[in-house]
This record gives sequence, C-alpha cells and structure tokens, in this order.
Amino acid sequence: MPLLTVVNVVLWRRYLDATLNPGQGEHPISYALRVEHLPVWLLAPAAALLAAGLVAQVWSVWTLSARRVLPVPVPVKADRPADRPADPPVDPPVDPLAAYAG
Amino acid sequence: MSVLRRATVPRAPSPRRSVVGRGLAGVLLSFAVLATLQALTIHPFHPPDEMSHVGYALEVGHGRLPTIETPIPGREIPLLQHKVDNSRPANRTIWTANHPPLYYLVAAVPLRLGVELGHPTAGIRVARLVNVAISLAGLVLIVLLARELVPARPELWVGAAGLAALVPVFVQTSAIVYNDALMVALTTAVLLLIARVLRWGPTRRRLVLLAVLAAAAALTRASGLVVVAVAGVAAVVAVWRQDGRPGRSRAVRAIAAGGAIVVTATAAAGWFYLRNRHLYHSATGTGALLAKFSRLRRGTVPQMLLEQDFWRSQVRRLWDQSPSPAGKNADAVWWCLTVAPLLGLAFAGVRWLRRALPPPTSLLLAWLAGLAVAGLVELGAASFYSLGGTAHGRYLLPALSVLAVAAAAGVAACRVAGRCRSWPRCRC
Repeated sequence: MPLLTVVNVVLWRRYLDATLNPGQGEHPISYALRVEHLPVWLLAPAAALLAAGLVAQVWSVWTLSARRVLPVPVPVKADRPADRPADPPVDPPVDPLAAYAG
Repeated sequence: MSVLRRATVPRAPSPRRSVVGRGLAGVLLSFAVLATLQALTIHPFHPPDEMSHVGYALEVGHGRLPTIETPIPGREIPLLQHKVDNSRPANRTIWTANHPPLYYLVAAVPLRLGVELGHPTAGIRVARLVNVAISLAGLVLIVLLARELVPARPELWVGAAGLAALVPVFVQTSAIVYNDALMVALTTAVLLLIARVLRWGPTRRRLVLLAVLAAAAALTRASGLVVVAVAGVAAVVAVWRQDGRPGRSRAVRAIAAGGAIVVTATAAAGWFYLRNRHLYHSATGTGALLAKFSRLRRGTVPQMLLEQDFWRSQVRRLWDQSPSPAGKNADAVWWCLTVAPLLGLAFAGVRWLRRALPPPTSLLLAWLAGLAVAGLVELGAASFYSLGGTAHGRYLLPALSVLAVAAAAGVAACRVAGRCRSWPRCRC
C-alpha cells in the first residue's frame, strides 16, 4: 500500500507536469496549486492525513493477519489474603483471530 | 411468495469490527486525500473527455438529451468555450452522448448551480468532489463484497479496498467529471447483492434491490448491460438452488425471478439503447462514434485478445494517464505491479488444489458471477479496440471490486509463498 501510494503521487506529479508544462525548475504540484489559487501549505495537512490513513490501513491488515495478537484481558495476580482459598485455575487467554488466520 | 423466503442460515459474526472499521477509515481517508488533491489541481478540461461530459451534464440540466452531434454548450462556462474553440471540429460536439444519462443527472446539479451563481469553475470542482464521494461509497461496498467473497479472511476485506483505492486510474477518474466512478459503485453494489442472494438466499428485498441497482447500472454506462445479464442469471440460479418446491414450479419461479430483473432494467434503460439504435444504428453507438473520429477497424476480437499492443496499452493506461508514455522501464513496472497478484493467485490455487478442500458451492458461484462480469467487461474493451477505439484501463473499472478482492488474495498468497521454505510441497 505505501508503494502504491508513492506510485500514485509520482503519477499525479507526472500528469501535472505533462499537462501544465510548468517553467524550468518549478515543481509541477506547487505550480498546479498556484494556478488553481490554492496555498501550497495545503500539502502539509494533506500529507499528514494521507500518512494517517496509510498507517490505519497497514495496522488493520497487519492486525487482522494475526501477525500481532490483539490485547486480551489477562487476569492480574494479586496477593491472596491468608483466609481466602486459592483461585481456581484460569483458562489461557484466547487468541481472537486464531480462527481467521490462514 | 414463499420462494423468496427469508434466509435461514445465520451469518457468521463479524470479527474485530473495530479493526476492520479503522482499516476502512484509513482506506477512505487515503483515497479522499489523493482524489481531492487531484480534483483540485488537475486543470478543468485537461482530461480529454471532460469537456464532453460537462457539456452533456449542462444539456441534461436544461432538460435536453444530447446526441453525439449536439454542440458542447461552451457559452455557459468561459473556460469551456475557450477549450471548445481550440479543439478540432469533431471534438466540439458532445461525443460522449452515446452514454446513458444517469450520471449526468447527478453531475448536472453542481454544474448548473455553479453557472447560475456565476462561479462555473467552482461548479466543476464540486461536481468532481461529488464523484470522489461516489467513489468513497464504492470503496465501502468493496469491503462488504470482500466480506462475502472471502468471509474467513478479514484482512483481505481491508486489503481489497486498500488496493482498489490506490489503483491510479480509479483515483484519477474519480477526481474528474467522468461517469466511471458511479459505474464502479453501482457494479459493486450489484455484485454484493448477487453474492448475498447466492449465499444467503433470494429474499424479496434483495431481489428488488438487485433489480433496481442493475437498472441503474444499465442507465450509467453500456457495460451495465453486462451487469444486468449476470444479475439475471444469478437470480435464476439462486432461486433454483434455494427453493424447495418440485422441479417445474421451481423452474418457473427461478425464471420469473431472473426475468423480473431483466424486465426492470429494460423498462428503466431500454428506451435509451433503442434511441441509440435509432440514431446511430447500434445500441451502444460505438460505430457512429468511431466513424466520427475517423478510427479504422483493427481486426476481430480474438485477434485483439492475442495482440500485444492491446494488453500493453490497457495495462499502461490502468496506471499512467499522462498524455505522453513514460517509456519501456515504466511499462515494465506497470506489468510487474499488475502481474504480481496473479502469481500469488496461482500460488493460492496450487495450495487450494493440494488441500482439496472445496469452498461451498454458493461461494464459488458468487466468485463466478464476479469473474463473469470481469471477463465480459474485458471482452467489451477488446471489442471496442478491435473497432478502432482506445484500450483505456478505465474500461476495466466496472470489475474493479472483484479484481481488487482477487488481487488482495493474490498479494496475501505471495506473502505466504515468501515465508514458506518448502513450497510447493508444503501444505501451509
């Protein structure tokens, strides 16, 4: 996905370069923004949002692929008072994604 | 109407909805950013067909249905007039008028508003952003379709939408005033309903929705006719498989269900294709359009399918929309990116054969319906190319959803193959 995102940005730049013919040394994207009366700083929040979206996608796919087990509640061991009987044996934590792996 | 019974099989609970939801939100965010940036920076009418599509929408906004010889109403938008004046005569008319009018009804609203309010360029921008919104809906539908086609692999639900959202031709055609984005959304919705009808049973609600959406697809692009045909066959198969009545009664009900879908689509969109036939002597108007642009016939469809130039042109245009080709190195990159998922699919196929665990028939049928749409759409593209048209990558977009799910499965299989030390003997 990150690779495809880079490909998209490169192709977008190439398209603008081929259709707008900006002057020597001028970046096609900043030139296109200027032609359309848009501030160049718009690219900063756009890049941040794009990165956030990519991170969310990659995290989701990675998590769902069961490469990383989601946090599951694990019983916390506490000091047992002397007059309380021992806790019954606890079942091992269940991997919620095990059924979906593979 | 007991044949349209309620689905009795309980659905599997959605695993980790929040994880899938966040992944989908990420897909939508990435796509929205990329497409919006393009919608704002690509100069109006630089994409070759945009002035014709805008002209069509402006005419529809006036309540008129244009023909391919209707002049583009440039006087309403100065920038459009300038573009028309600098175009060759064949490009001064609405050459895309062989398309059905549904998309233009949608695009006409912002375009007309822009003209009436004295900000026609803003109207074009808003029309483009409406297209982006339509594509976002299409991406949500792709996740739902993937959930039906690969129910046990939630990572592929997000992966399929993520891959679809990053196909450059989809990003760009969503960012300009073209009718392909609506076609993607409608075809995906139809394929989703086909999968549900086949897997969970043909309820009345599902069949009615299927008929309406298939009719809408037929009213958007000619490739919608393919979608209608597949939806009709799927309805017949679904009712035949799910109905418990005796043979003859079951057959009548199955044919009635499929027929209802085809009749609905014909009632909604048939008039337009009859009009095309009357005006251009063919239902799609392809011949008249190509004659207008002095295109010469290249050969037969089988010849085109075997011709390297057809595939090279289509693969290049699937990625790079730039007017000038990037060169052989870039072509090699496009081929690699296109073929890699296919290799993964081949690997997955080998694994599947070795495991000999056939998936349920209903799931296979749902896949078959999607692949049938993909195959028929590709045949349509080859037919257009054989008549002298261009092999645009966007002609494959109606099959984007099913191809994206297959590609996600292929990429996932590539990862497994990469990790596996003993392939192809292993059973991982």
